[in-house]
Order: sequence, then C-alpha cells, then structure tokens
Amino acid sequence: MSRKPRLKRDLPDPLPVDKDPNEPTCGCCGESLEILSRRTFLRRALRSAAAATLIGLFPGATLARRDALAAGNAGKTLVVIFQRGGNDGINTIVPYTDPQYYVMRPRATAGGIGILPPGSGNGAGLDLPGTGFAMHPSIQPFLNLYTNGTLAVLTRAGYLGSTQSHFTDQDTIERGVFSMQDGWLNRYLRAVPAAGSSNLRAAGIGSDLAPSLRGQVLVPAVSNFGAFNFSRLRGARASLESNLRAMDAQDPDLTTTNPFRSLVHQLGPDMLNRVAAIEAIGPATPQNGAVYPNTGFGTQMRDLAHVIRSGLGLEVATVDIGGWDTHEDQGGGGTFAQNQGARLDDLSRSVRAFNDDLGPLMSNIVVLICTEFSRTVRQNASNGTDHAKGGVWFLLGGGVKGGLYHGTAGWVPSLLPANLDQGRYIAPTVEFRDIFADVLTKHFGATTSQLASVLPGHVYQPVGLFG
Amino acid sequence: MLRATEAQNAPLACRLPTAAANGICRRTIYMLVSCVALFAGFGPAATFAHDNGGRHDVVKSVNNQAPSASKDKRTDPIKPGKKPRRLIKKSEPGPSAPSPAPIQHLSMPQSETQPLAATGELKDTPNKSGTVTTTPSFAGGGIVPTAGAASIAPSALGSSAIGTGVSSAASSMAGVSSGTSQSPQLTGRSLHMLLQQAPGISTLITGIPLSPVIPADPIAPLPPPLAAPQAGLPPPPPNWFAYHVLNRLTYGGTPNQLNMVASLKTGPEAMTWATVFMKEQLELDPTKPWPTNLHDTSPLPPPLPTQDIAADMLLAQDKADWQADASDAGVLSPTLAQLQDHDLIRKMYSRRQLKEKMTYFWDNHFNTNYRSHGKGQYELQENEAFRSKAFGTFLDLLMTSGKSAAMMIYLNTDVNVKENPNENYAREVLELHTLGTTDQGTPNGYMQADIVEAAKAFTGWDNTPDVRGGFRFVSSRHSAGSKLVLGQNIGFDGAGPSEGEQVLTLAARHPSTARHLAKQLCEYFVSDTPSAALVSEVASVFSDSNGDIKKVLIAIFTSADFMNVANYRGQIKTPLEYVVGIYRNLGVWSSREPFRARLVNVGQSLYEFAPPTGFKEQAIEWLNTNVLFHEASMAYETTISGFASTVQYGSSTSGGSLRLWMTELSLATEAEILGFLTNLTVDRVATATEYQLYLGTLRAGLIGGSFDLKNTSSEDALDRTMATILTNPRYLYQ
Repeated sequence: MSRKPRLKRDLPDPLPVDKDPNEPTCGCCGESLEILSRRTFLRRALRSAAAATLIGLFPGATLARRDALAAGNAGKTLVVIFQRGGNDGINTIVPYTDPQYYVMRPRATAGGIGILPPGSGNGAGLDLPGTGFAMHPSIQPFLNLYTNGTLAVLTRAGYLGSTQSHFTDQDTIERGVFSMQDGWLNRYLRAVPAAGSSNLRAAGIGSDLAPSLRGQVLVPAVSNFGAFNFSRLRGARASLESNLRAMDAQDPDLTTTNPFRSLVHQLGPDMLNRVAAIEAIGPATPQNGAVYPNTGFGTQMRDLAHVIRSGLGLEVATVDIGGWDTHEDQGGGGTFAQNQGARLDDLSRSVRAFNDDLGPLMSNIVVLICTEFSRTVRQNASNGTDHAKGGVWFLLGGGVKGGLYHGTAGWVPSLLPANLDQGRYIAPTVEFRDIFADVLTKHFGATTSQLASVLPGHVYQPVGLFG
Repeated sequence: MLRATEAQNAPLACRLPTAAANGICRRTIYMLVSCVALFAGFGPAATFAHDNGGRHDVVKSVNNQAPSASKDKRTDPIKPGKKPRRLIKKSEPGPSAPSPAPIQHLSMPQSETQPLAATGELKDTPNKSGTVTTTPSFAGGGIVPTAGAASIAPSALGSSAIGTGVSSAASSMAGVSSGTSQSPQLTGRSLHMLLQQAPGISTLITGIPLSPVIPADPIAPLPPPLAAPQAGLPPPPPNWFAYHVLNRLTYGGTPNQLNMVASLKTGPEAMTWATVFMKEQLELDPTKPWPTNLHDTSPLPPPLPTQDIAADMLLAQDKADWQADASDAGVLSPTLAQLQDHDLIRKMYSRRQLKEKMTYFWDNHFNTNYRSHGKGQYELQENEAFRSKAFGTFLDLLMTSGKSAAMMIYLNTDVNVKENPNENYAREVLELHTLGTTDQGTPNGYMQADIVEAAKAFTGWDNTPDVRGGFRFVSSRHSAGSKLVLGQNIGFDGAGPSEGEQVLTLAARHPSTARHLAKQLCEYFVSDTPSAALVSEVASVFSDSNGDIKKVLIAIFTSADFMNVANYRGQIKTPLEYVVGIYRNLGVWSSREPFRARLVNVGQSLYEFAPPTGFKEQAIEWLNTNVLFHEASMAYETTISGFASTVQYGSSTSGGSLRLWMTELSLATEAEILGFLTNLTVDRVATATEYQLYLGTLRAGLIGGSFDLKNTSSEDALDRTMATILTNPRYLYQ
C-alpha cells in the first residue's frame, strides 16, 4: 500500500474566470466607461422591439407571461446536472442496515470508506427514517428537500447494457440511444416547439456543449456569464458586429466547401444575439438569502438561476460537475471525507442554494442530477472504488413526488456477492430512458408521438416520479 | 549556421564571407549576413530579429563580450554567476557522445532582446540543466555536414521555406524595407552559397564536426495586391497545397512562410515547396525521394534535424523564473501557468512545428492532469519525453507514458496493489491508449476480464518516493500467479515490472491498436471523417512497421486523401490552433500571457484536462457559442486597441501599429494591403462580398470615403479590417 501523501484527485478544475481588464474610466467624472457603455447599450436595447422580452427582469411579470401560455412546456425549465466520472451510489444513499455493506466497505473508523450508521457521531450518515438508508453527511443540504417531499432519489438508475466505460455510458445516456449522434435534449427542442418567443431556449453551462444538447438545433454554451460580452469593443463594436453578421449572412455554400460551413455561419449571429441577451440581464443577484458555494459549479448554478428568473425563456439547461471518479481515497463522512465528500458538499450546497434562490419559481423547474454509473460494491485496496453499473440519480422540483425509488425489483436483499451482478455491481433496475420520459411527459407535457421522436424505439414504462 | 539579418544600420557583424548581392524580388529585399555569435571569441554580434512578414527588424546588435548590454533584466537569459540548475535527473544514461556543437541560427523577437552570453555559457547551460533536449544530437557526428543545406537544388531553395518559427532563423533573414540599402543584397542563389559555406567555417572554428542541419528560410517577397474576386464560390488558389501543408503540419504559418507560399504561382511549384517542407519537418533529407520502406521494419534514414536556437534560448530564459521543489533543491518545479507558458513558447516559436504538433498529440493521447499530483516537473518530464520520441515507435511512447509519474498517479497505478487491484489504468490503457472502442462504443478486442487481469499485471508499479518522477517496481505489492490478458498467458514474475510491460507490448501490437491510432492520426491531419481506405492503409503501415510513427506520418502525408483539394481548409481549428495560430500568423511579439489566459477561458487549458480522453480533435467538439465568443475575443484583443489589449504584432519598429507596419512595408493601396493581410490569415481567399466588406471597412470614417495610409485616422480602419478578417468564418477553417 502506498504511503505517499494523499492528494485530492480529480478535483474539478476551477471555473475559468475571465480576467477583469483594467477598466478604463471616463476622464471627466471617473465613472467606469464599462458601465457607461452598458447603459448606453441598455438604452439602445430599450428602444428596440426585442427589448420587451429582454427586459423581462421581474419574476412576477415573467410568471404572468407564462400563465398566459397554454402549451405543456410553457414557463417550464429543466436543468440537467451531470456528475461526470461515476458517483458512488452506496456511499451517497447508504444501506447502513445491511451488515454486508460494512464487509464490503469497512467503517471509516476502521480505515475503510464505510459511512457510519446514523447517530454514531463524526462521519455518521443522516437517517432516512423507515427506509434502512442514510444520506452521506456531506449532502446534508438535501435532507430537508427529501423530508419536505420535493426530492426524489433513484437508487438503481442506469441501463442493462452498461459498459463501465465513462465515455460510452455517458454518451449512451446523453444521446438516449448510443447509435444516435445527437443528444436527447436537442431532439426534445426539435420535437416540441417552444411555447412562446424565447431569447435563450436552451443553454449548456460550461466551456463545451454537453452531448445531450448537441444536434440540429443550435444551442449555445456559455462558461462565464459575467464575462460574456463585447462591451470593451466600444466604438468599434457596431461596425465589427455588423461585419460579422454580413460575413455570416452569405450563403455558406458560396463561400467554402468546408463540411461544417452551415453550422459555422449560424454560430456567429447566434453568438451575438446571446451576448446581447445575457448582457441585458446584468449580474446575478441571489434572492431569499441563498448562499452559493464559491466554486465553479456554485457560480454556474447561481448564474443559471439568474438567467431563469430573468425571463429569457430558458427551457433546457445542462451543467457539469466533475471529480467523481474516485478510484483512490474516496473517503467516508465527517472528518473522514475526502474526494467524494468534497464533491457531494459542493453539489448539494449549490443545488440547495439554487432551490432557495428561485423559491416559488421552483414549481416550474425540475432539476435532474445524473451520473454515468455507480462504483464497485467492494472497495479496492487504495480506499477507492472502480467502475460499475447503475447508480443514484436525483430529481428535484415542481411536481416531483419525493422519496426513495428502488424500481420494481426493490433493493438488493443484502450486498453479498451472490446478489450482485457479476459479484461486483448493483444491477440497474430503473431504466434511465423511463426517467427521461417521465420528465418529458409530466413536466413538459410531451405527447406520445413527441416522446417517440425524442427516444425512438424506447418502450416507455412510467417510473411515477411525478405526483 | 550563419544567419542573415536585415541590416538597417548594423555593420557586418562578424567575419564571414559575404556573397555577391543581387536583388531578389520586386520589392527591395536586402540582407545583412551576420554571424551568430556562438563561437567564443569570434564574432562580436548577435542580432535579433523577428519575422515581421517581410520586414524583419533588426532588434539589437550586441557584442557578445559585453553581456551587460542588456537593458532589461527580464531579458537576461543567464544571470551572471548563477549556477545552472539541474531540473530532473535523467534516468537514462547520457548520450554516448556529446552532441556536436551545433551551428546555430539565432534570432529573437525584438521584445525579448537579450545579449548573448559567452558562447560556452549559452551552449552549456541548457545542457547542464538537464532539461533542454532540443539541441539535436546527431548520431555519428562525422556525417557530412552539408547534407541538408548544401544539397538543396538552387531551384528548390527559393521555394523552400525551411524554418518555421516566428523567430526562427527564417525570420532572421533580412527583411523587406524601403529606404536603407547599405547591406548587400542576396539572391536565392547567393544565399544558398552562404548557407553552404557556413558549416565549413564553423567547423574550422570549433573543430567539431557538424550535424547536417536544415538551413534557415530565405526571405520571401511580399504577396501581390489582391484583386476583386469574381462572384460565387471562390476556387482554391493554384498554390493551395502549400497553404494546406502549413495549415496542417504547423500551428500556423509565420508571415515570412506565408509570403513564401504566396510567391509560388503554380500547383507544381507549390507541390515542390510543400514536399520539401514536409520532409524537413519529418527530419528527412529534402533532396531524396520519399522513403518507400513503409511496410516493413527496416530503418528510415537517420534524422536530419532542424536547428531551433531561438526557441531554445527563450525556453532557457523562461526557466530562470522557476522555483526549486520545496523538498528537493535539485529539481525545478514549474507552476501550472509556467508549464503552460513553456509549452506555448514551443508551439509559437519552434521551427520544428510538426514535432510540436505530434508532441501535443501524444501528450493529449496519453492525457494526464497536473491537478492530480501538483508536480510541474512530472508533466514537463512527460512532455519532453513525448517530444524526443514524437517520431519514434508507439510501444516506446506507450511505455514512457505508462511508467511516467504523472500517469501512474493520475490513473492510480501507484496505488494498484495485489490485495484488490485498482483497475483505472488497466481500463483506460486498453480503451483509450491502445485497442479502443468500436463505432458502437463497445470494447474493440478486450473484455472486462482483460481489464481485471491486466490490472493485476501492473500491480507493484510505482513512482519513486522522491519528487524526481522515477519509476520503480515494488515486488511486495505485486499480485501472484499468472495472468491471462488478450488471450496470452503472462507468467508470474514477482521480481520485476515485466508482466506489465508484456501487457503494454501485447496491446501495442494488437491490430485494433493500429486501427485506433491510424484513425486518430488521420482525423488529426486529414479530415474529421477520414476515408476507410486511408485508415486501412495507415493502419497497415502502423502494423507492418511495428508502430513506426514516422512511417505512419509519411503514409498520411503522401496519401491521395491528404493531397485531395476536398480536404483543403476542410477542418475546423481547435481553440489551441486558433489562438496559437493568431500569434504566429500575425507575428505577435508582445507577451504570450493573453494567449495563455484565453486558452484557459475557452476550455482548452493545457496540462489540466481532467478526463483521460484528452481533448477531442473533431470540429463538433468545438463549434459552439462559448468557443466562438472566446475566439472572436482573442481576435479583437489582438487588433482593437480599446479591447484592453496589450497584444502587439507586426514589426517592433512600428510599435504594434498596423498602419506604420504597412508604411514600412511600402504597402499603400487597398489592394496591396488586403493582399498582404488576407495572405496572413485566409490564403488570400475571399468572396466578392467579403472583399467589398473589407474595402468598406478600410474606407470607413475617412475623409471622402477614400483610404489614405498617411492619414492617422486610417489606423482604426486598418485595425477593424484586420479584426474583420480574423473573425471571418473562413479563418476558423483549417
């Protein structure tokens, strides 16, 4: 066993923060030219026809607009958070009443990574009464949501053909069907029309676009809302933007033979439109006393809440949180927490702040937290766990019926190797496409034929996640 | 090697013979031949110059006996009295013979002006540091030194832009200017003679036989004016293949390289030039035909290296700021930002551009994350090994990666012990590094059982307990019993790392691996959707040659697909290629920091990508709003002074002013200026609409709507025109 210093592994990279340029100031009054130019822009925006929707800054007004619309997806938002790397399920929702759990995962107090039973002090799990399960203490912010019935916890979500490859399993989940090259959310955007005009119907939060959002419908990726503007161009801005639009407005087929020309020509004006829309809503101001962790993920969730509240018509968004591939030093709870505990803490505090920030607006929002697979039941010799199959997914928000969902097969009687898939894994029992279909039909009101377009070939068996 | 540099005011710097001077092109091109002062006590001067697209500024001429001439401490490469520090002890035995003293081109961006230290110091310090491995050591130093330089046919020389670095010797070739004319003028032919003579002279001086060295680029004439295009889809330029080779084998042409390409008028001329360039980049003798022994294991000719003194000097200088590791004063431990910057120096300045592209390919293929271990030296060690083996064999690269400290910590080999093996490395090495997956995402020739067994074979592998990144085998952690991997029985060997090595060897030789690597390399160099025929052919070269990467690359570059005009500008630049490309295309000479920071923001931050896949190469991974936003921002940051920009490009004597740069180059009319600027960026291709847009932008805000370079208001118009060209979707195409 290695005795090298323990390092935090696979910690997510810090959110890229665009450096703040030295802000030039106006020579006469010292006021920031940056602000002046934004105001100038806003004045101009107010005069424009599009401004009516851009400046829908007031939640009340937004709700009123939404109420007036009839379609099933009117005013609804879905946020999909992907825990990339494979979050360990049985240390997230812990079967502490199964003695075999502590065989596979010796207690943290005994040098293993087992989460201690509720009530045993430091590192103890948080009991989910009457279930035999406990939450990892690092997701304490989720406990209230579970108790008040707005958080659904699926303990065996996944699919039978799971390969234990991060990349194949992520792609399968995000595409819905591996052989399809576009993402299930992109197909949704195509199959179900927007309920009203929208300046930002979908967005990928991050520096690249999640595969679930890729496809025919152009969806923007934005990594840092605060720096997403061209205000520093000042006097040159108008002419450069109009030049960019003019170049992109050419028929792509008459400019080049590059196979990506059509997409490239759409991206330019699309980017300028998104920049204008996001510039217009200004910086995020969390409400209801919500406090986000000062992390990359926390900041992205904060900005996302702001965008939703600002009434840009955001219907689908994805956010990534990495660092779950805990092959080593996964850690337990409390002061035994290491890699997984730190990630769970960031995840749960950020999502809880998002929930609190949006307050009553959450009735129109669903947050789906997924991961590509769980991890081997038996811990490995480096106090970590390896790739496995189906794991814990969460669903939170409007209309969600809270509670634990093990699927029709129920939970594994005991974590004996004989009860496990290949002696190593907890077999998935809740097909992820059924979870998607529950969301599509119950939250967005998708019809049967729309559902078939999003998840072709899938035979839908409702999970019953919505009340 | 000597270098010629523009000689506005500089005297002949050292006592090299000069050649007869004749005009080389329509514009006045003149050169001063100046000896690079690398020969102790010999020539007095080192003159730094920068490729400024025809006008190559003399930066400074200093006497090498007076190193204190530096005004700027930042630029002092080797602080007097400072002991060279050893970075990492090399585990391999040193080269059997010292490298022959290279004949060195020397040029620097003018902003980095620095005096030359005494010869020995300059040459020795990098060696003593144990880290600079870029001075090519040529096995058998007695080989006729002129193989590269002297035997290039005169007709080829004019078109053989050999160096590639912005600050390479190419750039030090004298520039174009109007006004001064004190220096001798060289024809391609006389230049050629000079290049021939220099090695012999230096051999005389130093007594050390020289390696064959690929000589510097000759200076190229400026491109012709750009005429208004016809309506409709613009045809590829007749010399497209030369642009294509620059687009694919480098991180972007430098102004001088691009000017050179523009001077090639016909397809055959372009093919000749491009073929020479490709061979030089592959370290092959450009005068010889392509090797034909691709489908066997017989050796290729020994490599013919390209000197890269300017980049080497910048690298050595860059290391001066690095701190020693906290626990071992003998090891330099760069921070993440320092590592990234060090790598960017190579990408931006190295003349060995293809080697840099391949180094990135390997470092990305065998991705590791600095944040998993926090040791800059581990990443550096890997990166330098991948560079030295970039054209080597796949098995060697795979072993290097598998046994590197960065990889062993990143994918947990270091904690993979017999009691309950950690499968992380075993899985990724099969799925990502070697056999790969099928188009259906299923394992291509291995199973979970192979992963479990391979993990056992790797038990006991570890990095040394110090911070020097060595490899060791800990037999007490090694799993007993034989293992069955990929259908082969691997006998128990508790005494050494050979079981794991056998796994890597089996994986490297597997036919799936040949296909996997062939496909990735074809995607990298040819097309996002390479043809099945190309992948098959390249895979068979991979298999037949036992993974000889240079043979694989030759197969790709000489393939009908690579030479098919349908693939010209048919890829999309990654953000890395876009950002570094701007730096090179425009001859940026100010700080690299805005470019490094932009890569972090855009999501292609080097050395800290967490997933073991590495960055994807395909267009679809990068064509999104966030990337386009950051790329446009980089274009604006480079060109628009109001964009909080500190970026300066062009010639230093023009202070970063595009208008003054154009003035220096005697480019006055709109068509001349557009001919030059579009050549730097979009291979002089424009639609009629784009041409009119550029013209309109050039004229906007000027009196009477007509362009006049002398009018200072034209500064803004020029900046906006450059920004417009850079944000043309066309500039994304590779």
